[in-house]
Amino acid sequence: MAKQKKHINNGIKLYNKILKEFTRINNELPVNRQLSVKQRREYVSKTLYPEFKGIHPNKVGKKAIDKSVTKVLETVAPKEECNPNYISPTVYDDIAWFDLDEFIDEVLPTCIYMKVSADVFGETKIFNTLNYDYERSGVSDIVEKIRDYTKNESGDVSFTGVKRLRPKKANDGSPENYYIDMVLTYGGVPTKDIIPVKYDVPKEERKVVTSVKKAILERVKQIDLRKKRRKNARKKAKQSIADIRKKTKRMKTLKSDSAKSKVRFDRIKDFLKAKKQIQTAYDRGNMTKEQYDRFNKEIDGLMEQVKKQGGIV
Amino acid sequence: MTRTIKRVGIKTQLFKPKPKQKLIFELIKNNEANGYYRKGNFSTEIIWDGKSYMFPSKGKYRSYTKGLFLFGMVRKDAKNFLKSGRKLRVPKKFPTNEYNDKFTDFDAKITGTDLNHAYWRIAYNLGIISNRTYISGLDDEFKTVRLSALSTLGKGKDYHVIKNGVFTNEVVKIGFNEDMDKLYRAIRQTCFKYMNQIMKILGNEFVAYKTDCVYYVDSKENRKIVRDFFNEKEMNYKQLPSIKKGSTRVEPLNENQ
Repeated sequence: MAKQKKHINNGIKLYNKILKEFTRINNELPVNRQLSVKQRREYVSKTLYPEFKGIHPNKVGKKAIDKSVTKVLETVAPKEECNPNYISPTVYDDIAWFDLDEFIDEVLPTCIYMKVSADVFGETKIFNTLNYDYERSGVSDIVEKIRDYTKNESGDVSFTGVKRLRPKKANDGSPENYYIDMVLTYGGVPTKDIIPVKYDVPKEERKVVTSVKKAILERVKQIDLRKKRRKNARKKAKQSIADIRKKTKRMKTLKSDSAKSKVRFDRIKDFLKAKKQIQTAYDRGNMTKEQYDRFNKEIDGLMEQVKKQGGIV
Repeated sequence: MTRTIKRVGIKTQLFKPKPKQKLIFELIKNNEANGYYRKGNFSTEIIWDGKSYMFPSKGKYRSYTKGLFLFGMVRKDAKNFLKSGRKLRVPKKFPTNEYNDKFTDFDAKITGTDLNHAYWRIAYNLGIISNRTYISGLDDEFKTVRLSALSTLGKGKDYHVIKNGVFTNEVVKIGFNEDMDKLYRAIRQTCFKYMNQIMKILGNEFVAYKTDCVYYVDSKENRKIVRDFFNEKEMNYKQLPSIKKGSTRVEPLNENQ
C-alpha cells in the first residue's frame, strides 16, 4: 500500500512561527511595553499573518518577522499604569477575600508584578498580572482555603496591598523593580509587616499618578455597577416568584368567581413576567446559568402546582 | 477662631467596621500620606486621597448608626435638586418662637396643633427630598437622624490635618457648601413662615407658637382654621388635647376632634 503523505497546514505553521517570534521579542521588552498573549494573537491575526500569507513558512525568515513585529510594537504606546509607584495605596488598601480575583483581574493594571501572602492559607510567587490566571497563579487555592475557613461568609478576612521591592532590584522607580504584596488581615490586623518601600515620584510624573487613579476608579465604578445589576436581577426574580406565591395563596381565600378570575389573570401575567425577566437577566449576563436554572425550576414548579390544583396558568 | 475652609474632592465614601480603623491609620502612617481626620459622637471619619472612610460607633448610638443611610440619601436628593436648576427663595427671617403678649384671657381653654416631622415634610413639599427618601425617614427611630441629615446640609465639618502620616492639631473646615446651606435655611424659615401666617390668621385668639407647634384658644372655628391652613400647605399634624391655662388638667379629645 502506498504510504499516505501527511498533510501539513502551512497556514498554522506560519502563524505559530510568527507568534513564537513575537513572544520572544515581547519578553525582552520592559514590563510597561509588554503585550498579553491575547493581544499578541490579535496582532498576529490582524496585521502580521496577512503580511506573510501564502509564503511557505520555511521561506519566511526570522529577520523579516522581527522587522514586522518591531514595526507593530512601535505603534503600541507604553502603558502608564504599569508602575506601582503611580498607583495610590488607597486603591488596594482593603480588599475582601472574595473580591481578590476580580480585583487582580479587572481593577489592577494588566502589567504589574504582584504577590498574595495569606499566612496559613499559603502564598503565591511574584507574578505579573499581564497573563494572570486564577488557577495557575495559585490565587484560587488561597481563596478556596479562606472560603472553607470562613464558611463562605465575608467574615473579617481581607487583603491589604503593600508596595515592595523585587529581590535584587534597585529602588530607582523602574516599573519592573516593584511588586504589590497583598497581605492577609484578620479583623484589621495584618499577618505580615505592612511597611511599603518608599519612592518619591518626580514632580513631572505626578500628573500620571492622577490619570492612573482616574482610570482605576473608572474600572472600580464599572465593577460596582455590574454587581448592582446582578443583585437587582436576583432581587427582581425573587420578588416575582414571591408575588406568584402570594396570589396563589390569596386564591384560596377568595369566594366570588369574578375576583378569582381577576387574580387568575394577574397570575398568568406574573408567570410570563417572571419568565421574561429571568431570560433577559441571563441574556444580559446578569445571572449565571446556575441561577437561571434554579429560578426557572422554581417557576415551573409553581406552574405545575397551580395546574394540579386545577387553576388556569 | 477662624478655620481655613478647604475644598477636598471625595470620590468614594466607604463604611468600614471599627477594627479596620487601626489598619487605615497604620497604612497612612506607613505611607507618610496626607489626609484629614475627624472623631464625632457617632462616627470617626478619615479622608485619604479622595476616599472617605467612615467607622460608625457602636453601642448607645445604635439607632443612629442604623439610620446613617439617610444622610447619603438626603445629600444626593439635595444635590439633584440644585442640579435641576429649580429656584428656591429663602423666606424672610421669622422668630423661632412667638408669644401673644396681649393675650390676657387666663380662663380660656387652650389647644395646640403640632406639625408631624415638620422639617422633613417641608423638605419633601419643597422638592428637596424625594418621595423615597421621605418615606425611608418616617420611622420614629430615625427622628434624630433625619433632623441631623437636614441640618448638616452644606454645613461642612472640622477635621484635623494629617501631614506626612503624622496627626497634627491643625484644623480645617471641609465640605462647606453655601447652596446646600441655603436649602436648610429655606426649610426652617418656611416652617416659621407658616407659623407666622397662622398667627396672623388667628389674631387675638393666638397664644403662642414654638418652632412647629401653635397654641390658640380652643374653639371649633379655630381648630377648623388651623386644620384648613395646614391641609392647604400639605402638612401632617396632630391636635393636642385642650388645657385650661394656668391649670395642669388635660381634657381628653373628642372623637370628632
